Amino acid sequence: MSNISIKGDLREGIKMVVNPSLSWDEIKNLIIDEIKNKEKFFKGVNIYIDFQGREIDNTEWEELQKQIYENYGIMLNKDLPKIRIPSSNIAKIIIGPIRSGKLVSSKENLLIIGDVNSGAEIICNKSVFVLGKIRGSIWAGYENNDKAIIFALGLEPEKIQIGSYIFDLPKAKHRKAGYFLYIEDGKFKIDTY
Amino acid sequence: MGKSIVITSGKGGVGKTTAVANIGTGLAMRGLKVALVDTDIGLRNLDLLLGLENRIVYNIVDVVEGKCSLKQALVKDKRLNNLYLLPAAQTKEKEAVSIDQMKEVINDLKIEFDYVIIDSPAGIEHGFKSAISGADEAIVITTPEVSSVRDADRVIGLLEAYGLRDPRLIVNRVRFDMVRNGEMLGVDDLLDILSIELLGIIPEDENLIISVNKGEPIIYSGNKYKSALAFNLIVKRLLGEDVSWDELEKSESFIEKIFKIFKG
Repeated sequence: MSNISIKGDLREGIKMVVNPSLSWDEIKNLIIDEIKNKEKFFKGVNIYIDFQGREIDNTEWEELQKQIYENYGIMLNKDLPKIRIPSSNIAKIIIGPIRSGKLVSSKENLLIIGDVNSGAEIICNKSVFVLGKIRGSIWAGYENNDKAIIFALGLEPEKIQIGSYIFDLPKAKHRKAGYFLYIEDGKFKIDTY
Repeated sequence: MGKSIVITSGKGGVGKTTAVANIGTGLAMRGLKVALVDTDIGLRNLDLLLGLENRIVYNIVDVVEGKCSLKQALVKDKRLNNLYLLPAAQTKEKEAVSIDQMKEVINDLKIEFDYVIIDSPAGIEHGFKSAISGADEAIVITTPEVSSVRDADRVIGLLEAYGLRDPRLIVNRVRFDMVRNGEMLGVDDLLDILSIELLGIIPEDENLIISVNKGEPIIYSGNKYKSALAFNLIVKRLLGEDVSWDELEKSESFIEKIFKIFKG
């Protein structure tokens, strides 16, 4: 592994990973050289330096920040943003239909391709997305996760629960395609398309 | 080597046994050698529908226990020489025949017969599991009621779990007039929910009740009654012919018209 490398796995900006075992002066020179060589490439881009856990002296860091900003107009950051592009699947995918008497439980988000039929039960710690019609019962955000959401193309459920809230469906028949269910200020909300 | 087909439903009283009697008879009328197996041990009915109740000597439990041979237990139909019934025991319980024993009996029958039609008991317990154990194919029968549809859905899931892929659907007791008025689930709605292939539609028909009470499958009456026509279409479809269900709805509206003339 080289002492400095550039990675693009952040949602915004570019990450620069440096070898943490080098001295501060070596690191400083590496960063300056890198930016000098690729000035055009870095122009107008947020750069995050990943020191991989190395302790950095704040005054030294601010000095470097100032130097780069004055010479190249580029702002350096050292606190990595928490949102990253996930490298693996973020949802468990199930091909339906989920038939009566079937219990599906998952700790991950669920993507169900097909209907959830009457008498079927889904229990999920996170959010549930159904590319089909819900006729059975769904419990999203199992174990009090009120931030979970449910999405479905069709909605004629037996029971809908998010976290600790049980949804009282109005009896009027919905004729829309696409339902988005969530909890806001302790109340069940439903958005349609 | 013949083919074994199980007819099942989950819910009771939706017409499994009636379908077995009529489809079996229909296949035999076309010259095929057919065996009907009643696996509803303790609650046997298939013998009554065929009018063979007073000809039974041995039953499936006797075969399994080795009291008689399979040939001795088979009851020949009154009218057709190539139709046989293997009756269930009335005085035993479902557990009297194990799953492996049932499989063996069905496999033995498949050597002799072109078609082995298995009548499954209601429920999803031991009786159901042993009934489907020897089957190559499955037919699920349902009525257009929500309770029956949900049970059918459960059974389709179980059949798939036990390795019987792509079961086909028969919808019994359909009333086209009620479907047209939106008072009953239509066949399209059922196919939408259950998402399996349709094998047939049987309209509600009081002549069918009369034929069951007489112990004479209605399919003998040819196409005189709408339910008999429906069973004939199912048998054709089972043998791989293309069938249009419009014929059925037309025949019903034709009969309705005649009724109106008489009443009017």
